[in-house]
Amino acid sequence: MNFKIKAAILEKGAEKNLFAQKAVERLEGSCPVLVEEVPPLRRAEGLEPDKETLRLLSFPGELLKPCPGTKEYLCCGYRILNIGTNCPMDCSYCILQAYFNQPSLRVFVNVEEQLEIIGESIRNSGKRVLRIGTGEFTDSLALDPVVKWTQVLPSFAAKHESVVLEFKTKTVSIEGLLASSHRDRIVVSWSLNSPVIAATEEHGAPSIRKRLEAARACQREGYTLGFHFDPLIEHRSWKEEYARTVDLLDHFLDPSKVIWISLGCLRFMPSLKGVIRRRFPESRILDGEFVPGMDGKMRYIKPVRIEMYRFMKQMLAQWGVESGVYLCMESGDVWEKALGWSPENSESLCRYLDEKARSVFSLP
Amino acid sequence: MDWRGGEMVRLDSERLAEKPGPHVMSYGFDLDLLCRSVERVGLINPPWVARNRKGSFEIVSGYRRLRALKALGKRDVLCNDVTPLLRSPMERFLAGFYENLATRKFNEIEKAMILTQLEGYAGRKEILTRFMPLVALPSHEDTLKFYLNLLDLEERDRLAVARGQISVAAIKAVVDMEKADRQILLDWINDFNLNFNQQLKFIDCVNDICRRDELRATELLSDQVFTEIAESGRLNKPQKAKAVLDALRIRRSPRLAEAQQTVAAEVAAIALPEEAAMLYDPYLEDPCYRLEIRFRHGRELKKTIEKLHGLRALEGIRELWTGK
Repeated sequence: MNFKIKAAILEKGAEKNLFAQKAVERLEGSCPVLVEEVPPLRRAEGLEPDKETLRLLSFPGELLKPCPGTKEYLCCGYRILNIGTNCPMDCSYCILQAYFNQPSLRVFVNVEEQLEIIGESIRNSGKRVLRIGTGEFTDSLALDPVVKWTQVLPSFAAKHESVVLEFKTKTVSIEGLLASSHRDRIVVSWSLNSPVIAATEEHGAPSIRKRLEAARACQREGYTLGFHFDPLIEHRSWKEEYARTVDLLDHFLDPSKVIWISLGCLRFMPSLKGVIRRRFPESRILDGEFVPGMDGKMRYIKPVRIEMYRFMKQMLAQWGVESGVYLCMESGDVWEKALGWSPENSESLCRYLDEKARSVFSLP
Repeated sequence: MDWRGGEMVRLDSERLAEKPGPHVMSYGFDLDLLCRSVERVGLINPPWVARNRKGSFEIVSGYRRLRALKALGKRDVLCNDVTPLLRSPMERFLAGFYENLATRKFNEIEKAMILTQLEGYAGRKEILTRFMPLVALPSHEDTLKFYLNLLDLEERDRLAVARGQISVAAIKAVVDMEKADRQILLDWINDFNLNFNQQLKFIDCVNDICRRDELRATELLSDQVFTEIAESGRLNKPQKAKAVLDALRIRRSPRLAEAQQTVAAEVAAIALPEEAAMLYDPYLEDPCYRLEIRFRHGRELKKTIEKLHGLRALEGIRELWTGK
């Protein structure tokens, strides 16, 4: 699936960047390309996302950051490679709706220069495993047909033995990956949900079946896969609905080639509620019982979360995945009750997933 | 502009106050203070008036003063006729606007009146960039739209907003609802004098329940639980407000409410020494209880700890979520 880009904007300073020039060439005159000044930041309230304008710019800050986890819950120690922000899909629960202060799809064209700097610091850090992902503030592959991150990022991973690079997506834009020769230490992961949630709340995203067909193509091409059931959403017949997704996993994929599956129940900053109500009046995702979590985000009451995680764990075990199932931003007691064990602290969880990566990719 | 160029005329305060013309931007104000001032020292600044196309006088500035004079029974008022100085309706409006702006703050309904009038004189962009900051509003299209619709509220609600009894945030939260639903929410807010915080909680909770249970607000609030509270003769207004919010909270989050009730009852049943208190996260998210002990010196602390040590009920304390 290629998303419709109606206009491309090169921000002043990015016009001469090769990455940006190539992206513009790939648009092949399909849309106007403008050169503009850097726009002022705007407040998110009332700002409608513009999912059809691609803005190419140099990001002045650091592109590699630790996942902004909070100390109150266990965080996996993931690192985010910030290659762009916003996404052409329009999921009702998307946290970016409350974050963004620029409405268009933003791609940072100085990624190659920044990767040189990041590479240097990785070499100096002495870390044995660094799990890095690009799918936090944007979808890892949605814009790949235009910007071709898959021509840049796998070779970065190839150069740095400690890097395990994860492309996290809801799309079927896998052509770039399939054309890439580098497979080692690359994880291609799909964000999954129940088919009904995918159809009603993940606007513009491919169906679960289509996502898994793409995952199968990647698996057949030798890629290691990951999955993220995040956000799990309590909805009518949710058990049957999530079981349908696991059935589809079983239909399309070999569980032994799956490195990890994360589970995370719906959580959101309180300010997102008004945005969801305004932008998606038909959405049912706010129907559940929510409480303010210890990090200030709203989350389902504990018994609901525990029941959902426990159910998913059982389903995934029946499919054949037991090791590598982990919870995203949960407390130790929820881990214990839902999965039967707890890593106790964030460092242990980080080590657990590092070990998983080490064993799958035969790292030293 | 030299205001001395106006001509002083004597007019009837009652007639002017009743038919003030299109430039009024005062609403929901308290006349008492102004009446007392006029009574004591008389009218210091004569109101400004101007003739309209039909030849009758309209108020440019001084509506509140005229209302005060009318209330005091002083009908014959000396006014400054600025017709030759302010030819166009826009000039007259702006003169009144800037005169008011320099002397007082506008309430939210008055801001709505000003923006509505400005629509007739200025373009959208000018209203957004020039005038909205002057009335302390952000230059946002959504905010402008909201204020332009604010005058559609019922008189009672407009007054409550003008007097700061209903928050703008509460109005924003109900503005897109069906009229009957919006009205019942505003009526309940007015009837029980909900404070700003309670107003938002009330609307949010009703909204959540209605969406989840596919009900209208009018249906939900007709439920016996709520009508009994509303009609109760035992409860005063603040008690009714609290009871309504509690009932809504239970309906919105029944499992949480039940667990909270269970924990509260279990904690209350433990005969803790009076120096000790057992605390916990009201949302039961933090798995840990906290024990708080007040003491003046170590001997007192030790004594309390000994009392706690002997308290067998402590062993029966369960995890905050029992799994129910």
